[in-house]
Amino acid sequence: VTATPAPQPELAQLEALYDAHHRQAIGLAYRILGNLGDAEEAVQEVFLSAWRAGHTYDPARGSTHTWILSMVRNRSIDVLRARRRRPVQPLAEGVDPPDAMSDVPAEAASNVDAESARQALNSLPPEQKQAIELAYFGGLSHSEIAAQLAAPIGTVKGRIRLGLDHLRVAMGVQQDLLSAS
Amino acid sequence: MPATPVDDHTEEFEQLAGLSALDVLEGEERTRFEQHAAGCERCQVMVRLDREALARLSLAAPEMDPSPDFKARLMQRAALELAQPPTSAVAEPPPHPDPTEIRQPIPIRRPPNVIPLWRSSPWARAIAALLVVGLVTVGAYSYENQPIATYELNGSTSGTARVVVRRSGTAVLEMHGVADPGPGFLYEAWIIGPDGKPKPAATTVSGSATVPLTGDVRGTTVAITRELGRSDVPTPPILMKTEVTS
Repeated sequence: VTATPAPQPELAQLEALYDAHHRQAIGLAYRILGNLGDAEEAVQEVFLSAWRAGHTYDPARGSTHTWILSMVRNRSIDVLRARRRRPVQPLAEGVDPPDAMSDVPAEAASNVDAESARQALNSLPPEQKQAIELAYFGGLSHSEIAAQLAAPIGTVKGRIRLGLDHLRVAMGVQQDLLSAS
Repeated sequence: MPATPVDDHTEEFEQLAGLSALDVLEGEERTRFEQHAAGCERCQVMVRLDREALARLSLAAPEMDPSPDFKARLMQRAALELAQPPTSAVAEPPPHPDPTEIRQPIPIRRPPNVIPLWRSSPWARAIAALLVVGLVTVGAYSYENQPIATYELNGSTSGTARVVVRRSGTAVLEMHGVADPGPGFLYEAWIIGPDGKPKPAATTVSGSATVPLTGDVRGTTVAITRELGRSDVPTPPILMKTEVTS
């Protein structure tokens, strides 16, 4: 096997990635974990993983922001769940960069800013907002949410479904693909 | 064109689609949904669009500053990785190559048998080592300034304010986007201890400022009032306040 030079992961690339996304990343991790130390640890792992994957920040690609935040959310939820029941899985270094992601469209973050995201969330009826927040920011399953709210599981499922429908409309996600049902 | 559901599509599968997008679906329900969704275009589209909406939801969390030395620690760890010598120059081929592995997607991660130029060059390693020493020094210097807790102030005014308590026991008040107090006025921060007596802790004439708080904030209430010049007693109403528990 012949050793061949690999692309040099410049520290400057990590710095650019950090400068562009760290405040939102820390805010999201803190929102989920409620502790600055844990939030920083999760965010550090995400930035290092993105950097090791050779990703460079390209301002023209808004999807980078969503990609980073998706990893921060996943990592933070893992930490949160580990506190409750299971060990944290290490982040895969080969995490898919935005252009290879199929589940988070590239335009996801480019045309919706933080304020409109908050407005969309706050526009939900309280019981739907609560269920969505417990699942998304709390990492709770529907049965755990049902137990916490002392509500039937079917009710929680319905609230989450209605809440997501509401969010899609509020955020202008391609509703026409589902309109005829 | 709307996505078409299959014949056995029910409202329950649409509920499960949402749970799948949230990644909270488990066990038998997960298996049942995945089997259904494999042939149901409507469920596939629903999961994709739900995930898109949820990805945007991550933006709803308020932005936040990390510890002052967080960036230095991150860069220090990256520099340490760069300076770390490779454990093995050449990877041994597997004794019995598994043909199924050939069909695996090529990982983005750098293969372990590759020696990057920055690791093989003594100059690059020396520079990286110097960088590490510098960052360690910075990290040690700023250790005492690490925030250990942050408390958001609540109130009816626009903008945000928070108290950041540092490891050293000192604290600062950070205000962002609060309307300036107006000509001749200032914002004054107060530390209200268990005895209920407010003590002046800081002043600022700007609604976006970071000011050190004089006094120990732990176990107190920190409040902000608008004053016509520096005052020794707060003038009601209290605009924003928070309890500092740590």
